[in-house]
Amino acid sequence: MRAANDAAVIRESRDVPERFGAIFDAYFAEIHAYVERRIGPENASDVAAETFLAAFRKRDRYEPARASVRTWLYGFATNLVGKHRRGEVRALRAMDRIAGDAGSIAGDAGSEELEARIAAEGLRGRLAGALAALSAGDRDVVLLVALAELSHEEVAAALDIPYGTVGSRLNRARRKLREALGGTNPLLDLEEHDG
Amino acid sequence: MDEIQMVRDLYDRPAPVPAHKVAAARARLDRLSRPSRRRLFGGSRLLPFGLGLAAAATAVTLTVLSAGTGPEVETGQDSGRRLLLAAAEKTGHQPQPNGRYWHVRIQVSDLLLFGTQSNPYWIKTHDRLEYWMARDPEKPGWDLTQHLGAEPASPADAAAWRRAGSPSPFENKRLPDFHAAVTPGPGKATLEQSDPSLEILTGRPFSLRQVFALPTRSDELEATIRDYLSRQAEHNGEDPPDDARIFDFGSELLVRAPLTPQVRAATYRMLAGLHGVKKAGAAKDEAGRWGTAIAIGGGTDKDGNHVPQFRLIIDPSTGQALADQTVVQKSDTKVPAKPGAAFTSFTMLESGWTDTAPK
Repeated sequence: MRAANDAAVIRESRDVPERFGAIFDAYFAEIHAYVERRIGPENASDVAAETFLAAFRKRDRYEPARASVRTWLYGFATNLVGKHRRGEVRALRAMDRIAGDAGSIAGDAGSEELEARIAAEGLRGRLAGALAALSAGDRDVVLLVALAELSHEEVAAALDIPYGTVGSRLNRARRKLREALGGTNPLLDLEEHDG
Repeated sequence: MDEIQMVRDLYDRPAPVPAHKVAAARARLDRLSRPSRRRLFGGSRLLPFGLGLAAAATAVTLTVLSAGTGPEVETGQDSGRRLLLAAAEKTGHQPQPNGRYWHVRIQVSDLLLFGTQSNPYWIKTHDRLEYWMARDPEKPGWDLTQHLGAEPASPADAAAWRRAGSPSPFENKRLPDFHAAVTPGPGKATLEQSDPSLEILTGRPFSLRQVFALPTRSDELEATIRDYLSRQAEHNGEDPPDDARIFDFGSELLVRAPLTPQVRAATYRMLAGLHGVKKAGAAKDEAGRWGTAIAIGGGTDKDGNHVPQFRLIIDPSTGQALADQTVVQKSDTKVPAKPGAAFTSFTMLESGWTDTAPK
């Protein structure tokens, strides 16, 4: 219902451009949250705003049959996030480094609770480091699934890549993340390769 | 092990976006999406309810000018230049800054598309926009906005409106989940204190202080404006300004900014030097005053999109700028618009320095 309404608004906005404001009002907060998590608060507002400007300019090319407006917006947002890739990777690496430093003093922590927390921190750091090490395309797929909670089909539409590519990128990325976390299961990997 | 869930947990849920950042982002979209330039002030402020409503309903509106609707004659370009250069010579009686406030009263007129998809009609609306900008940049000013009234734009539109059952107020039922109504009679005036750094031009942060700093040589003025608009365009992710944008900016300055006679003359000379400026014939502004329209732009761009034409109506006898308008020559909507129609007109009714604040 919402998707049909959104598509109608896009259609109307071709004749009445101001109508596009309704799309902004409905999705800005969500897109901003996605962008901010990826590239941090400093540039998030700019990139989120640019997402809607880009979508507005391309509104004539929106095809409701291919993607919902929400999915379509995530495509623009992800492309624009790509311009800030270095910042994103730097932040993830920093997270890894800070967690690593914490891990090195874990033995001296003195309390079990603190040690557990530091260990969890270390895990987070390794995960961040592994995310930073992914190729940009693989990271986009992982984060559209994890943060935007898009389905494989929606990720394919958002990034304009084949459905099968989404699956293979996601499998590759999951394997790398799992390796980084120390939980590699070769059998599981084999299974997923078939899928 | 669910790596996806772990990745999700890795990222903290961000705090809500501060309202001013949302407003700034929305304003950037609005600058792009609102063909009507009716917003007197910049994008960072919200419109009074009635105005926002009307702006949201604006598609393509028309103000039929009394002349200049046909193809331009060959001499249009030269005579346009001559007229602007002559206006530059008429230094007029622009007062020097000698009051506490720069006061401007403007009438904004647009045509809004109303009715239903099968029975559309154009309604012409009029709003009063008045502002007092404090000369002292530390002091606040005042804005006054008021809906003045609305009527069917032509006898044919009046007939369509009657077919719809003569709804009053005028109602827009073209779009689902969107109901706009415009009253035929005047509404209440709203007076608000305004930000001291408020912009003087439409949707652009351009303050009185910047107006006072404008150079008096036309080439330097053009460079200043081009540089300013380029930075704005870059920030908004828009194309760099073309000559039509420069013209539009210069027109707004002439219509509503407190220019010294030197800067005013330089502005006219700058307009005369722009590519594609032409005389568009005699024209009557929304206040019923006759003048001559100078125009730039129009036609279609390389993608086939309609490009609006900007017009400045000046009184050739005094060099006074009366109104600036954005004109469509061909409608982008399914509803036919008459050639030579303006979707927004800003008509200057009164301007000058004063010591008297409205409150």
